[in-house]
Amino acid sequence: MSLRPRAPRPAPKKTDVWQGTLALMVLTTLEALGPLHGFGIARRIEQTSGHRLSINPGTLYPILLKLEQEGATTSDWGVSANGRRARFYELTRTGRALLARESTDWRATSDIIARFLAAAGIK
Amino acid sequence: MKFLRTSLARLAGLLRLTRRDAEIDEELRAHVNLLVDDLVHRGHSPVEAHRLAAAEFGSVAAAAEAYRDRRGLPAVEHWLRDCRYALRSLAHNRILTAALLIVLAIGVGLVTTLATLFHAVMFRPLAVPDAGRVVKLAQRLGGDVNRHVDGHASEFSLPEFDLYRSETHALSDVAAVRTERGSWVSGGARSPLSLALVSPNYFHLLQTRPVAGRLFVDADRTSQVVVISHRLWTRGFAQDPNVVSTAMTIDRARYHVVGVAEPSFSGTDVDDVDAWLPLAAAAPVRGGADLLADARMSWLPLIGRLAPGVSLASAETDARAIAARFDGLHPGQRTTILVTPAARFESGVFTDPGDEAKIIGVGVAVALFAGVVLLVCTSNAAALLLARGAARQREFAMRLALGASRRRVFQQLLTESSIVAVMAACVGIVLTSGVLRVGAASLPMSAFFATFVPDATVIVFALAAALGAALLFGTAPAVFATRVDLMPVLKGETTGFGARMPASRLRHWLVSGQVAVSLVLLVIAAALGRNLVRALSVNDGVAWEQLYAVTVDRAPGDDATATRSDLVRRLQIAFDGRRDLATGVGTVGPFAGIGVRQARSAQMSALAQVNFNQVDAGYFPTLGIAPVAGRVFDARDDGSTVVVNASLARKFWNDERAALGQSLTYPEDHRQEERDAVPGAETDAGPVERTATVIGIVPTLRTTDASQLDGPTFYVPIPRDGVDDTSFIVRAPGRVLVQSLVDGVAGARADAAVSITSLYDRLRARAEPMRNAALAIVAIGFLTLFVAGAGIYGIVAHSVVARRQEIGVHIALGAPRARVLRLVLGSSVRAIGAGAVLGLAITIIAGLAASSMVGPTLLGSQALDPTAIAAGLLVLAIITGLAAYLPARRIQDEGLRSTLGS
Repeated sequence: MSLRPRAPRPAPKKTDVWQGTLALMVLTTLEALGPLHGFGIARRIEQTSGHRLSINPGTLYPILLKLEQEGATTSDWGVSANGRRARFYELTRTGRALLARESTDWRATSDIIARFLAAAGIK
Repeated sequence: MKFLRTSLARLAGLLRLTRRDAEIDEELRAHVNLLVDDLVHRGHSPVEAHRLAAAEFGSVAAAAEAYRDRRGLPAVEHWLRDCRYALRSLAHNRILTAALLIVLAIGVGLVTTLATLFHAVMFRPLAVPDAGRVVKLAQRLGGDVNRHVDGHASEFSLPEFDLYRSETHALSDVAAVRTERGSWVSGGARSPLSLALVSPNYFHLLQTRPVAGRLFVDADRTSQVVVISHRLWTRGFAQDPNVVSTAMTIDRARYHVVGVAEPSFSGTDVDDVDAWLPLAAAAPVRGGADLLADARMSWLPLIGRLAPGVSLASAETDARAIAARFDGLHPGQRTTILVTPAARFESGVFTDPGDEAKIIGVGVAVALFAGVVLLVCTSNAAALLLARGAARQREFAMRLALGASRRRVFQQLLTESSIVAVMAACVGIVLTSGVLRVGAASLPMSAFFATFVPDATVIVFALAAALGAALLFGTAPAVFATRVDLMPVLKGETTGFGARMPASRLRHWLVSGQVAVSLVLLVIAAALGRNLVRALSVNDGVAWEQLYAVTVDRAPGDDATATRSDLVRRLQIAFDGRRDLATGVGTVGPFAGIGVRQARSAQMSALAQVNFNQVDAGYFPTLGIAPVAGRVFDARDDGSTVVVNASLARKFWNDERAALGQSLTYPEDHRQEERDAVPGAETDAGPVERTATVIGIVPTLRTTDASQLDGPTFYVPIPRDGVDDTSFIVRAPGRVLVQSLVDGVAGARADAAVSITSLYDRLRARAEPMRNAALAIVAIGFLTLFVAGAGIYGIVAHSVVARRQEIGVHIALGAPRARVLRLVLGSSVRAIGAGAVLGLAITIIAGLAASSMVGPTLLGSQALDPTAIAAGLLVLAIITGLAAYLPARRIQDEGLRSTLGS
């Protein structure tokens, strides 16, 4: 299932990823692996999610650009491991600060939700 | 901070400073290639890997589009793309685009010109420091009025001016300014000058500065000095820095130039002034010696400057208090003073009761007129766009079928209209400044026109008018164009341009509307044109071409009345001696002002204000006027007889002939006594009334205003000793003859003391503003008709082209030419006919409304001129007929060939 915010489809096998979350995933990926091209980021996110997520390039690249416009990343052309020319994205200091802030927020949010779920007895 | 950074980045993206299209494509291609590599690595064959990669990636184009949207500002990019597309599609159909542009530019240009002129005339303050504090004074006379008018009744006499100036507390100063025409005599050549006779404090009041020399001071009151305008300095003296103290001969007197006014200052009236002369010094030389002392002569417009902290209302109260004191000296007179902000507009025009309503009326009329013109052009543009929209239906259907939303297509069409509008506004502004420039070159008001040519207000107005028009003419076609039933259009099963499309009915309404409006304008133009011809024609019974007014003036500095009387008498004898020349005498010559006097018939209880003149026995025969009834004066008549004009006869006795033998009562002239009296020094014993018998009725002449007949007027015989202050009216085959006769009597000094004026020239000068107005409306009428004609031509041609197959079949089956023509013309003729009926109705209603509101002056004596209506209908029929017939015939001729050939 691909990311299509405007045209939701019936529940798929893989999970939909919404934009804000995807941005956080991109930031964590870049933090973990260092400079990486778009394909590598998409693959890494899919692997990390245990192939439960599928990343649509039509969603990924605008988010990469958005992060760059916000100053969280920089990008430049480079050569991939198998000799392909590709644009590599790298986290900036601003990006790291953003990641720290976002991950704290996310933890807080998920912690709260977990408490609610626990209170309702849902596992 | 983040927002700012993002915005800057997106702006950079918009300008393609980052992520060019090629880079985006390359990055996405790299993604696919890496995916393929990965799949091959996992054991797929290269072909299989490519297939799987394509399936997993999805649409590269869609991804690129999403990527690009994030790069810049999508709304702006869409708009820019629309603009590019619109320009391409406009360039594709050049003729239609040109037609659209011309039509709209004419509309915008006309509206902008009208608005600019109206604004300038009505609201533009003077080009002087703190202009908002400068006011104009005007008076409204009521009650028992015995007054002479040389200019407008709302103006003041010199004694009145002196009184206001010395008594006012609300105004820091009051100045008088009277504009006149003159000529500059230099090296034997005469060039026309626009003069202003001003009180010496005029420039000080306005706070203007000289660029050379000095302006007037109080000591200049009676000096023969002149201040020239910057324009005259440039035109006549090539900006010579030594112009000061140069002598200038203006008409018959010499003046010394003392200074040059600053470039921005060209006077306080509509006309630009070339030279300013001191009132008290110049008026006697210019034949106005009597004006100076006459307390009951309206001839001076006054301006004032509000004292600090004084409002208009309190200035008016103050002025009225002074007027009340003046009224005390003239029992029965009731004067109301009006204080209004000064603008470069003749204040005298709007001082009668109910003028505010008239100003609003004129404003509404101008606005309506401008709106109507713009509407004609707009509806034409709409018709053209509709025709084009119908032709482009397939294109729109295609775009809608490919997934464009109706909103996008609508937006696209509006963008096209807006582009046309902006282009039209630019052309319109160029047109406007062109018109104003031509106006400046051909009319004596260069600074008046030139000052606001690059005005930002004008540009904003033109843009607003054009965009308003764009919304109007762009929306309807866009609605029709996007309301497409896709399938038949795509399959080519359209009805083309037949009567089944709703747009065609709208188009016919538009044609009808245009025809109606054109007709209204044409009728107005025709009525004005006829009125103009009437004004300039000799049909009022007077052959003005051969008439000359000969006036004896006081020589500069010469107060010896005896010399003057002697000259007058010798002239009289000389004229009497020439049997071949008809000569008459009148206190006031034609087009040189008018006397105002109270009078009543025996049946009337109260006096009524009417016009008045003193004439001799030769006056009417010289003008070539025969009495309607009775006789005119002869040598035996004295104060016991009067001649009245037909207008007065109708007013007093309801019938022209019934006036004969009736008695007319009027107060004796107190002019002579008042001349010696200082206001307030003497009490008036009350007017002595005189009753005289009406011995003749003459036709109503046209001697005050070229565009309308004189009001009620009575004539009394001129006393034998009273000819000093008169004009001789001479009928002669040419000016030379009169000149030689005058030279023979007055000798070498003739030019200094005697002026000879062609009455025909005076008539033409009086008719000039009206002629300009008439020409402008005629031009606008034809322009509108041209636009309407073009619209009709375009629509008929288009509908005929679209029905080509049908016509071809008719012709192939042997239908006669006339029948085919009828088929083609049918709907156009119906639309034009409906428009004509509508236009006629509007004309009649508007004509009736106008004559009841503004009075018949604008359109002459008849607001609803049958000849004008007939002429308008005829011109309309010819032009619209041609516009409909020509394309129909061409198609009919080509029909068979092209239809069966294609």
